[in-house]
This record gives sequence, structure tokens and C-alpha cells, in this order.
Amino acid sequence: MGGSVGGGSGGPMADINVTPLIDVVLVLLVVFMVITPMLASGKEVDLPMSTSATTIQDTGQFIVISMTADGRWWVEFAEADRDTFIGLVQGEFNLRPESTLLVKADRNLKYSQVRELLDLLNEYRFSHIQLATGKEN
Amino acid sequence: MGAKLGGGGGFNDINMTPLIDIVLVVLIIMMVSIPISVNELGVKLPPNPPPPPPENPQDVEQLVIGIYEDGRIALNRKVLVKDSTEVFESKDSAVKERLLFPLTQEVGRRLRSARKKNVFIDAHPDVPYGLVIDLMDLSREGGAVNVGLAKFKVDGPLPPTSVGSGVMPRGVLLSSPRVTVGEKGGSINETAADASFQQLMPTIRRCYDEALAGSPLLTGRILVQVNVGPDGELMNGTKIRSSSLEHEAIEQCVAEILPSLKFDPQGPEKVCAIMYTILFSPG
Repeated sequence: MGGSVGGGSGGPMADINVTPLIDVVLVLLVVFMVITPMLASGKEVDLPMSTSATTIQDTGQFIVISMTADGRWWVEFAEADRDTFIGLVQGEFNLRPESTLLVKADRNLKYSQVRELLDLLNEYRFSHIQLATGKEN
Repeated sequence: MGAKLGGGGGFNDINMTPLIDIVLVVLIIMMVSIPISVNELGVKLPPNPPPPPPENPQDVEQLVIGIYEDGRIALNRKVLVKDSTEVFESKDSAVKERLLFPLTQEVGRRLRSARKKNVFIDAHPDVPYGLVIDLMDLSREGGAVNVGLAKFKVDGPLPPTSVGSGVMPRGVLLSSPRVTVGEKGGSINETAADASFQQLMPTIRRCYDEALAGSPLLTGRILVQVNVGPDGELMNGTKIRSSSLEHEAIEQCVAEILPSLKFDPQGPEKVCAIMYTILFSPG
């Protein structure tokens, strides 16, 4: 009898084409490399430069309040107006009671505008505030 | 003849699976370990409610930097910088430094002899925020421990009562050092840090005098970072952080004499980092 037995497992190995797999992995890699810096908190702001600021790892311990050059206030990524601002900050604080306030204000803003923000925070007893800056040597 | 052509019989014998495993593992490690870092400056706001004003204002030795709307900058109501508008506009740190130098020098000098190294910044409402940060920087480099914002005034700071003569003292000035202790503490305070560095000053002054012969207008500052270990030894990272002098001989001079800094032993596991600002002014 010339039947051949169980022809399934014998024979040449499956020709898995690996190239697409590697392509997918590389794309994933590139996507993550691009996304990670955007996870850094707060809105994009032109930060003032400083030589004496301390560099701290951002491990999510900040509640980031941003003030963009047009004078708008943001708590993390949500815009806030003067009335809702403190409510939003307090809300974030309730979620993360151990956090520190980080204020990212655009360097082109007037002192009075930034001061308005800082004084409002101070009025509600959020007085331990860190100002975010760029670093230069 | 049924000879089969050799070579290229078909597929690669290389097993790709481990390669892909490694790539995925490296990917995950990168995702976890890419540092996201932020630079921060701490600021103190006037306490709420405000404390009662001191009995006799003259007794409180405070350094208040006033920034006026027209760009004048005064220290304790004495104008030292006539026009600071360019400081904010320019991104060139050499220009900024040159314009602010009289203020830097005076702040450094006053902080050396101040008991409490606090500086307050009082700015007019229309002053750019970036300039306020620049001055906070200047205060920190001059040795201020706490930099605060003075009570906000709608009309800006009180008008100046005098104008600096514009004549800067000649010589080399060491600003009040800034000491940061490590996690387990450190036992070097500002006075000890200053005393140790003063030993080097005669040599640095000599180098500066020699250099002045060749370039009589040599002005600038050198920032030196010194890391001190548990036995008072100088650790890795002790070096010149930055220099706006652009004069190799002096930088060389400082770098060469740096290793001879002596500190007392601090105790096991105690480390600290000290930042010194050396100001050079031809007068």
C-alpha cells in the first residue's frame, strides 16, 4: 500500500514570515518613544529659564497648574475660569492628597497675572507652590 | 540527472523568536525607565493673614529687590541696574549677566554678612514674569536660602531713594555659598563652607590680577560645584559648573587649586553639595 501516513507534521517547517512581526514591533517602539514625552504633565508653555532650579523626577506627584501666554488657566489638561479654578484644584487634591502644586506659567506673562494666580492659591491655603522652569547652565 | 542545485535550499535556519523576545523586553524596559523630569523653583508667598509689620523697619535686615516698570532694578530702594528690558528680551546669558552684574555683586556682598539669607522680590505688575524668575535665579546664585515674593502692590514697588554710583568695587568676591545636604544629613554649614573656600581666595586673586594685565576689562562669574563626602573628602562631581569669564587661564587656575579644599569630616554617610559663586570685577 502506498499510502503515506500522517503527512501533516512531517515535511518542511511553516514558513512564518518574520518581517511583518519586526515591523510591527518597531512601529510600536517608535510610537511609544513619541508618546512618552507628551505624558509630561500640563499644557505646553514657554517656561522661563533658570540656572538654579532643582531637577525633579516627575512620578505623578504634581498637580500641574498651567497658565498659557494668553492668560488662560488650566488644571492639568482642563481649562478653568476664575470661579471654577479652586474647585478643580481641590478636586485634584482630594484624589491625590500627597501631591505638590506645580505652576507652569509662560515667561511672557505679566507679573500681575501670575501673581493673581499665586495669590488665589495662597488665599485658599495652597501655599507650598513650586514654579516650573526650564534649565540652563 | 536529478541533481538539485545546492545552496539556497529554501528558508533561513535562524530562529527569529528569541530575537523578537529580546526586542520586546528592551521595549518594555525603555517604556518603564525613560525619565520624565521637571525643573522646579520653590517660592514663598507672603503668609495669609499677613504678619504685623515690624516695630522698627530699620531693624529688620531684609534684602528687597525692586523691579520697576521702566526696567530699573533697585536693591533696598537703591537703583543698581538702569535698564533691564534687554535682560528679558535676550536669550543670551552673557548679555543678561553683564547687565545684571552690579546687582549680582551687591546681593552677593550683602548676603555674605546677612544672618538670615532671605531675599524678597517686589515687582511692578507689568514686569514680565520671566524677568522675575531671572532675578530669583540671581538671588539664589548669590547665596539666598529663601527667595520670596513681597506683598503685591498695584503701583509697583516704593520709589527708589538713591541711585548707585555705578562704580563697582574691584576684585574677586565670593558670594555666600549655597549648601545642600544629602539624604542622611550633612554637617557643613555656610560659615564652614565659606571658611574653607577663603583659603583659596589669595591664589585666585593673584591669578585674576595677572589676567587683568592682559585684559583689563575682564568681568564675569564662575560657578563652582563642590561635593563633600563623609570624611571631608572631595567627591566626584567637584568641578567648575559654568564660567562666563571666557578666560582659560583663570578657569585653569581655579580648577587646579580646587582639589586643595579642606573640610572637616562630617560623619558616616553624610554628604553635602556646595555651590560657590565667584564674582570677578575690574572696577
